[in-house]
Amino acid sequence: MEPVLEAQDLSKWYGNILGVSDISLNLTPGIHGLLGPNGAGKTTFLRLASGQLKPNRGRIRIFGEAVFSNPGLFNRVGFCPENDAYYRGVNGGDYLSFMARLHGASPTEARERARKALQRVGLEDVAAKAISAYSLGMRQRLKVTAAMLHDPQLLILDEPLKGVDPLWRVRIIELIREFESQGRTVIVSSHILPEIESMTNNIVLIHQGEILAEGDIQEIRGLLDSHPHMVSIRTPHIRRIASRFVQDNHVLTVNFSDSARKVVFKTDNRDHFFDRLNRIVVEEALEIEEITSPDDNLQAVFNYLVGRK
Amino acid sequence: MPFMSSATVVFGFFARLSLRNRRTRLLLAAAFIPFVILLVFHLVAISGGGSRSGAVLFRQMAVPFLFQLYIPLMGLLGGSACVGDEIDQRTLVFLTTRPAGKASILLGKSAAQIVISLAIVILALAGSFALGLGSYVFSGEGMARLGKYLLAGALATMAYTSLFVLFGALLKKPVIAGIVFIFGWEYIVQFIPGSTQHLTISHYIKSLLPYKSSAGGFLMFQLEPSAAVHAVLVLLLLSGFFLALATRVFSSKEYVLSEPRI
Repeated sequence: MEPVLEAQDLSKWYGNILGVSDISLNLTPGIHGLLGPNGAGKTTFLRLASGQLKPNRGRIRIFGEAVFSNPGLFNRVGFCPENDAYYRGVNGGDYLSFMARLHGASPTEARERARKALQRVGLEDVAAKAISAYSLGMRQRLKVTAAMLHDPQLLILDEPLKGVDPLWRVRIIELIREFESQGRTVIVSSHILPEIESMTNNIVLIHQGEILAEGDIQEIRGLLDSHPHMVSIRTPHIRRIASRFVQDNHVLTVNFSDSARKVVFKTDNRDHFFDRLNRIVVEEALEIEEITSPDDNLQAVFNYLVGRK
Repeated sequence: MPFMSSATVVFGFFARLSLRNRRTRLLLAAAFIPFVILLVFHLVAISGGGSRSGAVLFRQMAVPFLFQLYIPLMGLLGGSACVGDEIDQRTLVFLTTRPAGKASILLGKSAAQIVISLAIVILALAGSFALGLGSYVFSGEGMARLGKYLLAGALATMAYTSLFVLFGALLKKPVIAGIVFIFGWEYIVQFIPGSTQHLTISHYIKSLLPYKSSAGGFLMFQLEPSAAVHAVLVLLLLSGFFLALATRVFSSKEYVLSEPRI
């Protein structure tokens, strides 16, 4: 499949400050979550992807075209910046009409597109109100819908849920998923893990300007053989199971939870642990109610990768 | 999107925005300072307390204020803001992530600024002229003189605004550089012997004014004025050159909108 976005040895620095370093990445259609703490390089990467910055080294291409100084590309690309910025003295309707007109819409078409866009994010009632009077969440919704205004093939969203209330978070996540379900591409950044998890399993982990890992969260998780895994077992026989694992070199800790029926193991070899667990369960005919991995989420992967670096 | 279409859309939006802008209202108020002074003078004269002619006051107060101070400063504030506001308010990204070329964006914004500034200058000049010279303005000679002032005012506005659009596109602190230019270069050079005055904008503007101020005055000439046609051509060419250079710089330069959060 042809990549929508290709970055090759991409580096950007601001004077002595490193923005991103040697990023090579190919993104195909779908939702891609760009995840990393504040200052990781997400915004720099997205500014490079949206043509606001020129790379110092390497290159970045979207739909096979260079991005910087290529305005024609923005017929197919929508961008929602992170900044809480707006034109003072302009209302939401006029702002969106202006944006639509920059896409070649006639004044009538532009007003109609603006009306639909405002409706999409529940701002139709405040269309005539100055943007400066909107709440942060409303301005964020306005920016998101402005990025979608021209029905782009690629949507780049930098922290789109920042300041948005919980109800509208859900709606925006739905909008992003609907958008992607039409075969399009979304690149969305966040430093909040559940936000990304609620949109996609396809992630790019970025830290200190470098990509730590990319791909499906489960695959990334699977690659981390030496990463200590937590395994929680709910069973009426917690002490019998625990006693069988206490002397195992691959079991680092054993914790009994508040619940009398649950024990949590920390192991540095998940495959070995599960092989042994299977044998014990069969040999002793133990009843197991539930097995879960409490740290099998982005936070655990991210913490581990950052700590390892 | 075609160049002219996007420039027109940008022009329309920013012209409307300028009309609601606090800076425009302040500049409009400042432009009418000579008008207010002339009005006060008239009221004093009517009540029998004044002796000075309105025409003299117009020439010695309103013209230097508008041409030497107001128009360059308005050009600086308005011109440098074409790019500066977008960077300070971090709104540039909204324009540059749309299918409109950067050159058309800057040209549209600059044109909006120039048109608004021209309207202010023409109103202020015409108002002050009418108040200063009274019924003389309705004579053929009066109309011709007013025409010359308006032409000089319009070309001055275009030239200074275009120059400072370039400053705004090029420099991080365009206002400081602009003040140095206005009160340094433009003012000091007129005292330098030789033909260096040809290197100032003010020389060509003064060449278009329908009177020559006395030596030692604010708008003095150390050098013979250029021919009017020559002055008009130079001011038009300079405006075009500054704008063309500004759009070129703006198209190729990278603007970092805020301190990098990386």
